[in-house]
Amino acid sequence: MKDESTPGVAIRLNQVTKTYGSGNAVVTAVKSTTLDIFNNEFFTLLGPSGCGKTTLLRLIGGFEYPTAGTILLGGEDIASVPPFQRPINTVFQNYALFPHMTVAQNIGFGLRMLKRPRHEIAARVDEMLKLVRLENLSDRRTSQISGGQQQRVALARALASEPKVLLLDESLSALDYKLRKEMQMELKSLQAATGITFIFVTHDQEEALTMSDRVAVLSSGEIMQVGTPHEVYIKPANHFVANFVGETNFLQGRGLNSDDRGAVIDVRGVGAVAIATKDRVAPGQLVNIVVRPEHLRILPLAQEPAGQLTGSVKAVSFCGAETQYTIELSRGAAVVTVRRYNTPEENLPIAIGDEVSVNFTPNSAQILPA
Amino acid sequence: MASLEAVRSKSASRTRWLLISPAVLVVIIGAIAPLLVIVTYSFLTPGPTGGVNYTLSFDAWTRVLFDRDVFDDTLTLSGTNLEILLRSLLLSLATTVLCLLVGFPTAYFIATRNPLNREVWLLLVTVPFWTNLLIRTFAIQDLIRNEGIINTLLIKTGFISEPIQMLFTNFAICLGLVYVYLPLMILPVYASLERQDRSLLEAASDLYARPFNVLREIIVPLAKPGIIAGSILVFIPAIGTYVTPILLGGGRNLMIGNYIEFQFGQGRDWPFGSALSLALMAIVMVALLVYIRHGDSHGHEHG
Amino acid sequence: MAKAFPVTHQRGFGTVAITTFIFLYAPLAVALVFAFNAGTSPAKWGGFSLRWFQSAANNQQVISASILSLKLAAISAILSTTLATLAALAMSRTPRFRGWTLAYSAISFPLMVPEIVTAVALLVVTATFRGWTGYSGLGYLVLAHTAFCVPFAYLPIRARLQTMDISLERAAGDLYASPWNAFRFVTMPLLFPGILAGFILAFVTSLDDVVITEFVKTAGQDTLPTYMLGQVRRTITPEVNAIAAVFLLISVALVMCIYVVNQRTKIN
Repeated sequence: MKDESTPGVAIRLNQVTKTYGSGNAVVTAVKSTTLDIFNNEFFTLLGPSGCGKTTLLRLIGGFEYPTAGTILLGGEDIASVPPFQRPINTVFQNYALFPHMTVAQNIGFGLRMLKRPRHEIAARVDEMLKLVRLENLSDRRTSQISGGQQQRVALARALASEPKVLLLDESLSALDYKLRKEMQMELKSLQAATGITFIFVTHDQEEALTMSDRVAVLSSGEIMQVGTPHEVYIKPANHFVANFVGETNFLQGRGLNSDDRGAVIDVRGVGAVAIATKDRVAPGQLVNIVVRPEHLRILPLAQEPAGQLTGSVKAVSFCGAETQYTIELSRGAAVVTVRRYNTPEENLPIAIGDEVSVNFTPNSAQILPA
Repeated sequence: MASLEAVRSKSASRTRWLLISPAVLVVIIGAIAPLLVIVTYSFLTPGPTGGVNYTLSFDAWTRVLFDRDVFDDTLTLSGTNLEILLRSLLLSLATTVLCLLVGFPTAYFIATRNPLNREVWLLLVTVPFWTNLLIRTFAIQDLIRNEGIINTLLIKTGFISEPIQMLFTNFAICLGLVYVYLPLMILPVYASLERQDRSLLEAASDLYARPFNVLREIIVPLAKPGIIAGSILVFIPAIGTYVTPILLGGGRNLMIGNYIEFQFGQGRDWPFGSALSLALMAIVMVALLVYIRHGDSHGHEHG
Repeated sequence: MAKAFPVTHQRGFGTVAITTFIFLYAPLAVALVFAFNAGTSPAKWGGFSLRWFQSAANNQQVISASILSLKLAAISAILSTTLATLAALAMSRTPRFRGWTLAYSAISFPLMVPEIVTAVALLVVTATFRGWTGYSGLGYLVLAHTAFCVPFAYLPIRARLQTMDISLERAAGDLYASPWNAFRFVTMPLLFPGILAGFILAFVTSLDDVVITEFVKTAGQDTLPTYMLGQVRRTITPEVNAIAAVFLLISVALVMCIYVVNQRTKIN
């Protein structure tokens, strides 16, 4: 599996470290990162600002060279190859379109630098213009087109030379909400159509989950978890991932006992709670129970006997398709968020100040070491 | 209500012109009006001991480019005048090109330093510029004269046995002009380079442009307004120079500025001198038009 | 291994730049050093001496030329800065008005005309006036210098006014300041660096001028530059270097002055 040219692997990062500064003022942007990114994959680097995701992208693009480690492209170490010799192209955050060139000249720039014959460039530019639906704008200056169109030109420009890998640096963040949604779909279908590996950097977890085949969650220069959006959301590897990807409730407790099917946790101020898990929890071990807001069910106490947890409603906010409740659990156990779809059947009114029972099934929760 | 507005704006307008007119008046008296006198003189005939006779004539203008045959009044292209015009044009163009070749890398070097050091480098460019032009020209003269430090060093080190005649050549004029006007090239080019977006360079490198292609395709085209501004700023004073040819060109290497002076001095041909001055003005105006057309209109749209 | 791809690096540019700086400073440095040369050769060091400074200081022509230069520069800088400030205030604070382009072209006119052309034009006019009026005092030089200094004084003042926040004056107006007080306590202090820069630029431009002065002056009206130009036909002594050294010192001091004022009062 770990040989030098594994088929299917587009980019392999091997113990890549990047530090800035020297002496006492060394800042580590990327900490000994090892990662495989597969051919034909939409891969996302997700993390808060300053987590090292952009540095990682720039290392792959060739704008930064790693302090240690290797970057393999098709089995070949490209760690110190300059960007103009890497078959990897970038869509920059601010698009970086050349203001003194037309849309068509921008798109054809890479091919011209590769000294492709003129007719080939022209044909390819036309093809790219069609792909991003900008045929009628080819002679415009880049300052004369809208933000969404600029985004498409940047995409077409980066794709024109058919790179092995396309890097996208927070490429959608400058667009307004609606356009961003549109471009997410478009990017996804472009990736499918071209079969090129996309590496996408974002701090927006929703964007990451929507678009990606796989996601790597980063924090302080380290990869916290790599997996499909589903895996990352349903089985976060640690507290950080659980917290950063989607909204989560944490309940602190100690292990009572566990077997192959599950564990029983003594939640502070609540009592014993059963969780379905394959992980063993040692008696007395401090753990966090992780439950997503949509997996919690609430009912007015008046209508139903107390369940696992009880608490009082502190805030209610209506979000269209769903309503979000903030509930302070009794005896100060925790403050949790609960989300309920606004379907007519379930509409037992719950208001601020109401006492409620809070339930979840053993399967919907997960245990993480505290 | 409307009339009140009108009164107020009328008085504001009067105050405005009261403030502006002294400056404008001084410039009119001290620069514009004398030029109009010159325009008039160029259509008159020379007086016997300088000055003019008030008879209308286009002779002075004709003689800018042509010689009139003494016997049969036919016109032939004037060798002397053309040579002087051409030499002035070539020397100032060579100066402009040299300033660009040397000034662009220098401006680029400054623009790519970190922001704190940039100010210091810029200061280093401006200090010589603020030093008296005559003194800077003298400094060059001292350096390149036959018994100057360059020839002395070259002879001492055995590279040459006889001093190289540098002073009083076209080379000396060009060197002096480059030395004196180089900061006028560096500063505007720097200004246009400093504004450039680094991510454009990265994008070009990403799209397979080698460093030289990044320079040719991105950096230079985007610096075009600065390059044109710098070239005009160097070209205009260079073509009208008067002091440099005197100090570095000796008597033989005349430029148009000295030729104009000659007409008002020993030449005693004020109309011809006036016509030559206006011809020089025309060349400068053409250069300025080029600047207005190309210097500032493009390249700003992204910034 | 390099830390990052040097995206701004261009081969050879650093070398050219450093060579350029050497080229800019070497001739001045040589002139400066040889001002202290005991001998007369421009290339052979004959020991340290202040004799050329002394001989310049004892040269009556140098002294009177220096005094005239400074007098002329001071008067024309004060006049041109005053006129330019008034014009800039009237032209930058209000919306574009009819005649703006005309006024602006007039003020920047001296920048567009080659010096030699203005010089001969002034020669013709002043010669005529001298004949008519018999007056041959400093007035001609003052007028000529003031005229070509106006655009130099105007540009930095206008630049400063353009970067100044007009809302500050409005705020002062809101706080019950009369227009005059708003001008005195808000506009003037903010504008001061621009006025100072304009004044210094005008002063140096006047001090620097040789061509126009050469053509407008009459006998006995030599400024330092025209005196030095007159010396060119004779054998040059390092006395010129001594004068150059003093000039160099003055210009460095003035540049530093502008630099410091700009640094201190930067408008963000």
